Amino acid sequence: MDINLNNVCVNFDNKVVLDDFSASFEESKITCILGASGVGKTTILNAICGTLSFSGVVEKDEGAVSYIFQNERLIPSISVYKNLDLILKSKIKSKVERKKLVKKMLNAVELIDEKNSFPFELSGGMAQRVAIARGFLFPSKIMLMDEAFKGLDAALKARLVSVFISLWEQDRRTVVFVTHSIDEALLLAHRIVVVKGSPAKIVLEEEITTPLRDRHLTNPEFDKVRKNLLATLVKD
Amino acid sequence: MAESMTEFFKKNKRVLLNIFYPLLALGIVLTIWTVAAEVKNKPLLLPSVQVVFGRLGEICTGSIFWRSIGSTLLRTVETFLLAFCFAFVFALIGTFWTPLHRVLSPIITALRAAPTMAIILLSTLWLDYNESPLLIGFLIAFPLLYSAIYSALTGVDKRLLEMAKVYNVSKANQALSIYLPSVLPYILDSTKSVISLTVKVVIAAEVIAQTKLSIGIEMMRSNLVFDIPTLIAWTVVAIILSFLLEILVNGIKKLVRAKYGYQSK
Repeated sequence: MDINLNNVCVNFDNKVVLDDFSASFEESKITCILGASGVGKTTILNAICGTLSFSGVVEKDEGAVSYIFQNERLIPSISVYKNLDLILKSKIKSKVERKKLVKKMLNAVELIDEKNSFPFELSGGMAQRVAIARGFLFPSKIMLMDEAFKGLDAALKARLVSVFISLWEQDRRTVVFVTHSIDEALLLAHRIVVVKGSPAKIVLEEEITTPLRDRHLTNPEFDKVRKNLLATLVKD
Repeated sequence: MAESMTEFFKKNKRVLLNIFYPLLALGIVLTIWTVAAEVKNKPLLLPSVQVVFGRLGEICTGSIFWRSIGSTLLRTVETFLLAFCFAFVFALIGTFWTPLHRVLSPIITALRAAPTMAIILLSTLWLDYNESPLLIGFLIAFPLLYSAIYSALTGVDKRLLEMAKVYNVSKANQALSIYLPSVLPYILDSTKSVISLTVKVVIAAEVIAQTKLSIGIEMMRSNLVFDIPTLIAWTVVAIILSFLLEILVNGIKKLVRAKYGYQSK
């Protein structure tokens, strides 16, 4: 089912972050929430995830959600393999079955040779690939991503976006993706929602129909959307 | 031959330096002691290194020597483990139930601030010679261990805990995979310093309480008859005991590091 936020209100220390905020995120599509830092994008994700208290209604599929955080949040004292195995333990009791799934996922993100490495032995890009793998490995219908490619160089970001798209094409979850990068939104989203203001409101929505695999930042069809998004973001 | 020696030194540089520096420190201390004894030239007050180690050789042949060391060691370990268990349980509860920590905080501060000698004197009035060192060791070790364990537990990366909650990681797996590896290095660091301190205060309490069969009472006896070489010999024994306990904790730390593959901490 779609994810629906109806009249959601969130306050932090007398600051109203969301006030009667309503939005809908389509099932099995990637929706990007685009906005400036501190506008309340992560708060929207946390409301969907249920990790903060709010008033209003969030309608979504029952069960847990996958969450790819801004920093990879891998447990430093256990290996890559154990980091992935750990999140399956509550869902799959059979060790053999878990092993099969973890190995398959590590192969998919081309990190099978690093299965015994500790997170500190990985490069930033490798660690974020493990975090993406963890998100897709965890059985859920919803995936939330919070600035998952922030701080990575352009080449690495392009590679990770490609890894993400190939995993998503095999397992089409409902993805809500938060970023302040227009380029990331253009490469990944089926729909882009721009939020602005305090409390945050949706000020623009854009649909992108180009298939994910065919997208390049130099695509001329992105020019108009990019200008539109940029104009909305910088407008007072 | 020279080349093979150089090769040997290069290969074992770290191990050799680990031996060299403590030996150098020991050499410096013994040199200062020898020079001071020569300058002072009062063997009754400050005996030479040879006299003290000669006396150590003499007393270590008697059965009382080993039994005294064994008793003091047992008392130290007993009181330390008791303090550790209490500190761990209270810190664990205090981490998840703040009112307990808020009640304990002023008590812990008071215990840390109270003069050790005052506690020793009071405990010798209240308790018998055998129980006093145990209480002292506990009262000194408990607040230090509680603070260290509480800080370690509350310092666990909240972002990892949030991740674990999102991905439905069970409490048991959180404890084993997140809490334990995160707190163990800090706890072992504190253990190392607290256990040495416990040795010191247990012996001090043994002196005041005149605990039978203990390093403390042997020190007291030699002090009463003005047998300074024996007093210093027992001091050397106490230092060695402390060193051995620290080496044991270091060994455990190395095992923990190997298991959890720490890069730092």
